[in-house]
Amino acid sequence: MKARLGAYGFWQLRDFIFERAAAIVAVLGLLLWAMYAQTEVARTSVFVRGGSHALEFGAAIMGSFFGQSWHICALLAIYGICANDRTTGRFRLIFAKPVRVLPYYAQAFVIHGAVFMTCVAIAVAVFTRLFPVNGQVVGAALILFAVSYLLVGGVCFLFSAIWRFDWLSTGVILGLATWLASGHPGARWLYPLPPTWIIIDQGMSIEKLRPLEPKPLLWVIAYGVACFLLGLIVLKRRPLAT
Amino acid sequence: MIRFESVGRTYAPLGGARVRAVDGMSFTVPAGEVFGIAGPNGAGKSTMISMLLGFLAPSEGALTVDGRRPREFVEAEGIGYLSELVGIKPSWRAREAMVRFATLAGIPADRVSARIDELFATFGLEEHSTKRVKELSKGTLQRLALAQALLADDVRVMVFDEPTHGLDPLWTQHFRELVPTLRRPDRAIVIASHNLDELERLADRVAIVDRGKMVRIVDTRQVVSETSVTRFRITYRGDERVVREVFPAATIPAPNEVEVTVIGLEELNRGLASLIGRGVLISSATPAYSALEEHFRQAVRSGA
Repeated sequence: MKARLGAYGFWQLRDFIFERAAAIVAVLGLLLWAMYAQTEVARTSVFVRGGSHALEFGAAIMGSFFGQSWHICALLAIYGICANDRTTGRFRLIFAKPVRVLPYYAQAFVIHGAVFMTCVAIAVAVFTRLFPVNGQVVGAALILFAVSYLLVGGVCFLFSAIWRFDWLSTGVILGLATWLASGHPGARWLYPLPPTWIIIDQGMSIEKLRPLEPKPLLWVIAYGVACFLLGLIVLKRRPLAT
Repeated sequence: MIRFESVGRTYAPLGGARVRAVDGMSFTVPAGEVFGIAGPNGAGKSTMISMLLGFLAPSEGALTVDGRRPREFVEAEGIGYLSELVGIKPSWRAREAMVRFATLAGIPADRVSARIDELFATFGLEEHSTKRVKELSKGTLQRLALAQALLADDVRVMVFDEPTHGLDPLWTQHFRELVPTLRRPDRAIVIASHNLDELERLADRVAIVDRGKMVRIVDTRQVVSETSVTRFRITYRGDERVVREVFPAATIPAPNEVEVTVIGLEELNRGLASLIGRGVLISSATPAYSALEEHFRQAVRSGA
């Protein structure tokens, strides 16, 4: 018999919703609430002035909302994706069944990403009810959240395939890349690091109502996908048990 | 079905000393056989099982299951496997866990429910169906783990690692009665256990491993009939003096019980016939200690 992996996707989806989606929604919700509470005076002012002022104000808040949440939410969506099964020994019963390792975790990666984006879409929908934003800003924010999942998800997936401290190593490497890039903007030796600075730059584009630049974003996507594929190779080659 | 050829496995932790967990192990387990693995703690049993399931690759030698690399075999057909440490998520409910494993085992959706009902009835899990795994007692969790191992009834390899660990005597007996029903001409069953008595009852052959090496393979179908010196405990009703006359060297551990040392079954039966002929009623004659246990002691002590 072959595993009904597609049907098992329902359980992966359910696990994500009950174990992680609530945390992601909570983070985004708290952030929204804090921003809404902190901008009460400014909101009143821009609503009175109306027009482009209101849109600029909404875009600035959206940029800030994205900038403060993309890394933590993407990390919440992906951490431990492979490593948890190893550290808890759950892999033993799962992979004694006729289950192939790579499709199992690749499917989990896709499902985590899809529910992550659903959570983000809900938060952005709520955002549009609280702040004045146009379609361009909303679209840019959704694209950037998706790209940030690919980057953080890809890097964390690779670490998760390698060892158990995936969340820690991902946090450190993302933080290091951001810190180094802020001190040496544009340096070529930054290229091997996860291009967090591109995400941050593009997040600023939201604030300034500029369109997103496809080329740098493609680099981020390529980097994330490469890490994900590298993670699959590691999973293929490494023993499941240690 | 299962073939270990000079299989070795060395662990080389970062910054740590290399550990030779399995060393030059060779044996085969044909289809139709129940094969036991016995050994003290740290003997290499878990490493052998991890390699058999394809969770670890051998450092050297060749290990095949039905002519294929273990991982290939498992991914194609699956193995009925009970792990020593039951890795079922504590927050899952018992039935939910079974549905998940049934899905992964490839059981068609329309048969899942009936199969789970059947296994829950077999293992007395009906009343625990909606409980979370963390609410189950150790024995009940072990029964759940056994049930999930038996979900697919067409698997050609079954591996039970310490199957009766945590089970009460009733369920231990139940498991022992179950194993013969799992035998099939095209299926190999591997049982790793510390319980030598259990292995002697269930397995056709038992590999004794120690410090990563295969020390001895004992054919349990022959151990009692060998002409080696064996100690039996006989319980009887009758005159103790008669028993002492027939077995002068016997020791009497309790009233109506006697322990005798004989060379092979012939001498035992001659003695028993003599006792019966002189009016002593025999209620039982069993090995005073497991013959496999004796093999185990000798093997582990001598390293051969």
